[in-house]
Amino acid sequence: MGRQIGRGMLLALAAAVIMVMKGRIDLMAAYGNTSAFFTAMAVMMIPGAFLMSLPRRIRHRREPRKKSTWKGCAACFAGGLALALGAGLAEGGDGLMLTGVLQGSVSAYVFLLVSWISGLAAYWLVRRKKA
Amino acid sequence: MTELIAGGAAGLLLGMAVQRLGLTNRDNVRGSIALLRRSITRRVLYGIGWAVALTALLGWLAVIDVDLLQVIPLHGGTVAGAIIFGAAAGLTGLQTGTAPAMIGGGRFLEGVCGTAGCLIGTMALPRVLPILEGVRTLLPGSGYTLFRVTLDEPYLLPGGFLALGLTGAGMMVVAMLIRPEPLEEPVQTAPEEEAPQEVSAEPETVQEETVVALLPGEEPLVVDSADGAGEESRKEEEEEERSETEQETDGENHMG
Repeated sequence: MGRQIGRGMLLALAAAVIMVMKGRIDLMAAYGNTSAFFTAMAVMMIPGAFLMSLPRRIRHRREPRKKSTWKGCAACFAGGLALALGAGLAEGGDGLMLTGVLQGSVSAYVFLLVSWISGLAAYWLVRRKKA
Repeated sequence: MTELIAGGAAGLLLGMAVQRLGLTNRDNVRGSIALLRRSITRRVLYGIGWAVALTALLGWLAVIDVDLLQVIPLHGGTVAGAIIFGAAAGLTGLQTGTAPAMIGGGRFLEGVCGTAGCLIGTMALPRVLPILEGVRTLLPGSGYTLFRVTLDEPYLLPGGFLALGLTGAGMMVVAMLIRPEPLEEPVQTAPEEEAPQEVSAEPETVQEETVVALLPGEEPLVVDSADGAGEESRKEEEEEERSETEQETDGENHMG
């Protein structure tokens, strides 16, 4: 329980710091390169995640690692395109949705609910088809 | 320059948080959306709950400038965009926020491809959005917030930042109620029959080496090294190990 809360606290801290600085978490601004702050933020997420994964990588350095597949890469690319389209249509992706939830915006809660239902339906439809 | 340094520091923290929550693994994201990896859903909900409570506190203390807050209006594009966004996230396990973190903390090439997709998609938006402009007008745009947190935007309920903080606390309670998925039991296999041990040709010699000297009336002391506390911490470590969110984990097996 304590560990779960601790992990969540890190996200809360990061979100609060960005909210104090900018008042929003706008990753679409990073992809569109319209804000130096958000572009730097997106770029520095890479070493941040790498640093956090380092202890486990060292611990399991002798074990064989699962590598990216061309299918996974193609899915990620297509997914990225669709995510950008969805986020652009809604005037914000998961970053702005998180910001909206933090400030109690109705549109963010609607986005969260609809996208979750859509994701759930898509996942189970594909799974059913595969089965 | 200040913008770059501040943004970089914030990004470093956010990347660490995303990795710590296990969202750099696509299977974890898909599993949490499909409620198959409830431990991830729980962590994320805890995080959002804490963030809402912290934001409410900082807003109440006027550390967050409420003039900076932008309320995105609710219109047809919000619903249509959420459907596309959710379907893409549910199918690929990728999100615009987790794609860069995947490069550093997950599968490198898939992260690069996902980020490239987001970049190209964002670049194509000015051409695509005018075609879909009609979708936005399906619902009248309204920029409501649940509570009064901005100076100008309309709100639905009274309570201000206190109510917002309580909403965050409510999310944490919901997260507490979510039961994580049960640990997978290791497959039980029939114990292998021990090969018969060879009888030593020199039993006297062996006995001489394993003599335990006891004083008359004393009993040998048996030390149980596998005590309860050790076992418990081992189990905890195992659970931690299992829930660690690296790409080495094959999520398909867990998700059945």
